[in-house]
Amino acid sequence: MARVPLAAGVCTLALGLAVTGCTTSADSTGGGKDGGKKVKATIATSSDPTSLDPNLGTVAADFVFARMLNDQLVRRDDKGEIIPGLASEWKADPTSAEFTLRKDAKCTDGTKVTASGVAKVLTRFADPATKSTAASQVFGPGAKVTATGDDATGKVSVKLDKPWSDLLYGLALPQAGIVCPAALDKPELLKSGKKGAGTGAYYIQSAKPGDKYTLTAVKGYDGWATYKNMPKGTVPDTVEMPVIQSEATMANNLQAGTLDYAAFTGPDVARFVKDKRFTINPAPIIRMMVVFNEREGHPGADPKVREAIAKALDRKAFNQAVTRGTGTLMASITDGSVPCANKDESLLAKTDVAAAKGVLKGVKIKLVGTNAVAGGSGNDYVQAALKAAGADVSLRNADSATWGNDVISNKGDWDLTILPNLNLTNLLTTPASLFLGPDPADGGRNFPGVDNKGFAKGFGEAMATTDETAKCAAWGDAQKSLLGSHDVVPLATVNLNYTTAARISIAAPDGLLAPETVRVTK
Amino acid sequence: METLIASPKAPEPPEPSKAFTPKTVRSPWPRFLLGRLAGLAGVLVMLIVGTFLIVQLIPGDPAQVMAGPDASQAQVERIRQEQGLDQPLFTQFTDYAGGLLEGDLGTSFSSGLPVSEIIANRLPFTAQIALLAVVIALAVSVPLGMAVAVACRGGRRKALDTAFTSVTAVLGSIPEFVLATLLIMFFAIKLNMFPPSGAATLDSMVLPILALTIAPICTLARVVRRETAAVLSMDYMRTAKGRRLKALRLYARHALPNLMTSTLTLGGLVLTGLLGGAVIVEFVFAWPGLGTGVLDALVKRDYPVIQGVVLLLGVLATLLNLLVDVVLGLLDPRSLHGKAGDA
Repeated sequence: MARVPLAAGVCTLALGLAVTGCTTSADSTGGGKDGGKKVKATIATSSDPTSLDPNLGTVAADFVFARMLNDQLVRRDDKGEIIPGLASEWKADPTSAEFTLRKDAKCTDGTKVTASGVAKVLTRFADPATKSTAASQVFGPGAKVTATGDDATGKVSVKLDKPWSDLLYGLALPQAGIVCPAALDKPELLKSGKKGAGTGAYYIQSAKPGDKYTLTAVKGYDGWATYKNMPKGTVPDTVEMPVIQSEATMANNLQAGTLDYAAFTGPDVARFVKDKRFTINPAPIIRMMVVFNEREGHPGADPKVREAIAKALDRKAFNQAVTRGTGTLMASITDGSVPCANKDESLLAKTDVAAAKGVLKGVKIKLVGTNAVAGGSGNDYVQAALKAAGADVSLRNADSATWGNDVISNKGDWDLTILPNLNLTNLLTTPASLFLGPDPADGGRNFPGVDNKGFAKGFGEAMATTDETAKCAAWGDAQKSLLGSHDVVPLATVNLNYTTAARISIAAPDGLLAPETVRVTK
Repeated sequence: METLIASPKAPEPPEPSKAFTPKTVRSPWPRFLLGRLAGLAGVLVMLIVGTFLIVQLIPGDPAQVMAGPDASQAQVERIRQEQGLDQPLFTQFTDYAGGLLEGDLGTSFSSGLPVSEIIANRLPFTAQIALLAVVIALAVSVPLGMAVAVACRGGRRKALDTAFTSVTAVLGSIPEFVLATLLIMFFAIKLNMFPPSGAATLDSMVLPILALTIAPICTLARVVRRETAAVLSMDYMRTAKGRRLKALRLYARHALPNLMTSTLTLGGLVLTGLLGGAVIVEFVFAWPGLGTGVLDALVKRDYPVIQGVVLLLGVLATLLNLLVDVVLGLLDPRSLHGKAGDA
């Protein structure tokens, strides 16, 4: 694991990132005991979960609980490799998938998980009446989903009415957690996450909102993930999850020994950089890029202005301003660690302030950014760089809710923004879906109003194939078109720094935390 | 509220005449209480309107925050409709005020729990530290202030007086969050004596209460010292001293009652201030009270929770002020005159 020189100053609260931490021990055979003593772990959460129903999760705290309480049909290992979850085998094409359930798949109360039950869970997840915001990421926007199960063979079949090749990745998301089918008829049980609500390694023993949640390990649970870097050690019998909003308070607990694990986006990680009792593992979860309002009447409607702005900016200077150089420079709408992401820097406009000046001189630009990331220092850099190129730039540093309203919902007056894309799927689809389709006013997500036919074509082709080579080729075309039109100007990543004490180990395949894998190694 | 120093024995009132008595010696309490209740009602109305309007001034869209970053605009709009956020402001207000009249504080946007349940879960935590803090602040600051005043009376022990004034001035000026951080660094991280956060054990209360009480102790102790010095210079104290009363009896029976008005007045203000200070201290110590609740609600734009908690804190502050004035009225009836209409 790498060490991070200094934290990227990112506001966890505003971005709603769950930050976790833990104390203590247990064995990898499940429901472990250590010398006859009950073993307890403490994993902090930065906020109360908004829902313990995984399908309804919207913030990262929800995702942490979702993974603790429920298994997914499949899981995702490093480099996007799909590995078993509740299903031991699977096959998929762009419009369908078939899963064979593990024979020992059980709910947390010991009842058997049947194929027909899982089909029922998936049908509910995809049903618009369930109001899951994750369903479109899993099955594709507006998809009609047909899920069936054969209890005799243990096979679950999922059919889509239009291609969505991310289906397997989507079903590996925490929001796609499979709740216990029997709990669907017991809304109160489902909401509570108690014994019998989920299919995962833990269930909620007690919940005190605002204070702490206590989870108990499921006796005899044997559905552990088979990640390449699966931690070894003892599985805790009990996991406590106190609610700690402040990263500073989490850091205090880590230093005092009352937490063994926390994740930081802000400067508190610096307290652990030179401390040998802790290890820091940075994950590039937040991807930063300049996005334009391309609607008529805005400077970004002119491709020449967009190109000039791209030339006026320097990714390295941005990275220095926001993360003091600890981020990774991006060459697309995400960084190179995501499957099929462009790494060809020749597709980007080279920094050329002199050339930019010729176009930008006197151009009035309203820059609206969020101060959730490093206090808005990236916005300050972009404003200064564009001013240096002759543009007349006004900057409004808004909190993330205001920024979301003004920019993401496109209800404010804005020309330019620095998008901090919180990509918890590690897929190109997540940021890509912001650059095509209807406007927010028409129910879509295309907040910049991009109309890039080449990009839309590549996106469609990528979604229509599960052949990795063909998929990456399609994504390559899509990104080339987007970058060639300067619809986005890639900048750099901001890391989420998973910080662990020496005696704790926890998996984070592809940089995505798997909290249910917490083990005590010493 | 006024700071009054009552003499221990007021002059005897004149012998009332038959025609004079019923009209002039009327109890001031009914007028006082009626005035106060009317004032309270006015404050309550202002609080209800204020708490409703204040959340409207917070920029940002609660529906967007609730829906999460991956939601489509259609999903955001659906949430807006469900929560009644698409209704005209006046309709939203009448719904809010109507709910309050029925004792319904609304439902949290983010958790779906009734606001009254959220408050019921969190209030005891805030009450624990706030009440303990005020008791400790009074229990420490009054004897401390009196002791210093007695020790330094008549210009004696100037070094002690200077040290007391300097130390209380410095400690009293440190903001609560800085003090909290310093306490955590020293007692939780360096000495490992107390937990740095949480409310799991009794000892987890120690640092938050220290962070809350140190500044009020300093402020109150300085006031008590000054008031005690003034009382000690009064004729009745010299008379009492001349009767060779024991020190404890002298100060407890003759000086202390005359400090109570100012101390109680300030104590009420301190407790009201603690409600605000607790918000910051709770955040630093991850204390699961109203403070962390309202901060979390602010981030999530959870209007009903913000409104409910702010309304409750406002009502508590108003009631505390009323309680202090009632107690002051009981201790010194002169304070009732001219205060009937103050809220």
